[in-house]
Amino acid sequence: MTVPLRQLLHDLRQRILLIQDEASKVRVLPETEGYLSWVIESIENLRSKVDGLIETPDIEDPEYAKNFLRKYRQLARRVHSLVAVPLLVLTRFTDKDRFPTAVCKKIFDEIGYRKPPPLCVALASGYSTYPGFNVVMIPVNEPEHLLGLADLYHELAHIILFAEHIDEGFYSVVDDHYETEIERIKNEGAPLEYVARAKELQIRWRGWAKEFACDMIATYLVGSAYAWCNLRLCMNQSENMFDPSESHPCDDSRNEGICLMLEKPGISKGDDANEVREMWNRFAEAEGNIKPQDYEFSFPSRLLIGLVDFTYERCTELGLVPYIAQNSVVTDHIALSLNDAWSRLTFESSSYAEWEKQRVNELKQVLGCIP
Amino acid sequence: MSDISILSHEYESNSTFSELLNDIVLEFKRRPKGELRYDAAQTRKVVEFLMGLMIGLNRKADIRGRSHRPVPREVVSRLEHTHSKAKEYYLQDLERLVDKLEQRKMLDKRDFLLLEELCDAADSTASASFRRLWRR
Repeated sequence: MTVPLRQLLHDLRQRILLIQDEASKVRVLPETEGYLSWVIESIENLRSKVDGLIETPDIEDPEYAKNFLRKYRQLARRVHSLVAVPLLVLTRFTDKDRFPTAVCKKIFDEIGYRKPPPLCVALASGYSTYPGFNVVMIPVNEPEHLLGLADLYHELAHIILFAEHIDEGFYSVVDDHYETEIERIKNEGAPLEYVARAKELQIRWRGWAKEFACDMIATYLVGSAYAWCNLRLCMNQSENMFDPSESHPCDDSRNEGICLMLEKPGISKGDDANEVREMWNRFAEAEGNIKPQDYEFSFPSRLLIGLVDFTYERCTELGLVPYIAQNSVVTDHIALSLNDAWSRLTFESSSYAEWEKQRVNELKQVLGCIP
Repeated sequence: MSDISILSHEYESNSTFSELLNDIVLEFKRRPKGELRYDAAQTRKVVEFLMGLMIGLNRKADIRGRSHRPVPREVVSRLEHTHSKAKEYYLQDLERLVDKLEQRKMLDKRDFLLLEELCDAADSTASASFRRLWRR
């Protein structure tokens, strides 16, 4: 017995027509015009694929049933995703989103990345990216502040990582490290539990690779502003700086990855890495989390250094301009403004709020977001 | 800092891989009667994915200077789990399939079972990452 695919495809077609209708009513703004065209084209493309499948004579042939079911499911997922991200963003895009979108465009110019910059909308509870849809979401009030905007570089790194497949190279750095470790454990005659633990870590590191890479790329692009921004985030939210999750490595190792990138040429002018490390140690002391015994085995310095070297090389190969080498014009340079913000918070904290308000307005004006 | 960025990235990679592979396998299966060869470009893509899978399963796999495309890690893990008791035999089967495709030979039922199993792992992985992203 075959599944009722043709009926389901008709239902899917109807949903696509409704999306098409919704997209045709979207208010067109200069920032969203190109994106809207791309979305309309994607919807049309989906519709024609569904039409093609409905017309396929052998769609119910049992020999191909599973392949067509997979095709239907793939299309249904695409339709769901189009509604959940691009259509949501386009129908909710307001004047408030023009500034963060302009900031992303400016950042792409400053770092020398030539692909289309994303739409950036302030309608989320945290920073997040949909790389396949070229969309970044940030919290509602973030466009009015500068200190957290360094996180945008981490989100933009997700887009670059996805487009350039940088993370795939990470895996061989991780695998090389753990294969050498496993050999060493066996040669030293250590208990076999260590081999199992090394294999488990190898798999977990493959999951953590993207977050490490995005931290490192963000640091490469915006320098110490990202390190301070990350430190503030950890002070606000960290449960235990030595505990990793499935998708995110532990905060302590991420901070060290950031510091190692700060030490690479062209990323930082002074001794930023050690200043960040010193502040991190003070935070660690106040927090009082206990470092697990096998911490160095789980987050080895050698592997972190290998990943920083790899990321730095890939960024250079891609022609991404490191922070110091970006030609900064004080009036509108985003990376410089964010570093300036962190420096002012440190040395002139009582007058910082007033300065930030003024600086945000200046940037909005320069980027054409205030009429 | 959010999991959404990671999940969204994973879903896109898994989904693209699954769609591409399923489309090619379907084309292979629906080849018009009398046609003696599969499309060369599609054959090359499948070979490259199979090489990528073999490397994912065994980093020391003999790839004899042949190019490969990365296969999503979760797909590799699924197949590794399925064939954990006889991984060497599975690798041999994959190697035999690669040789057959490279020599432009026609595939038999056993070959298609291997390809369908890979499509299944890819589709399940794409579905799982979709659910993690949207249906939490």
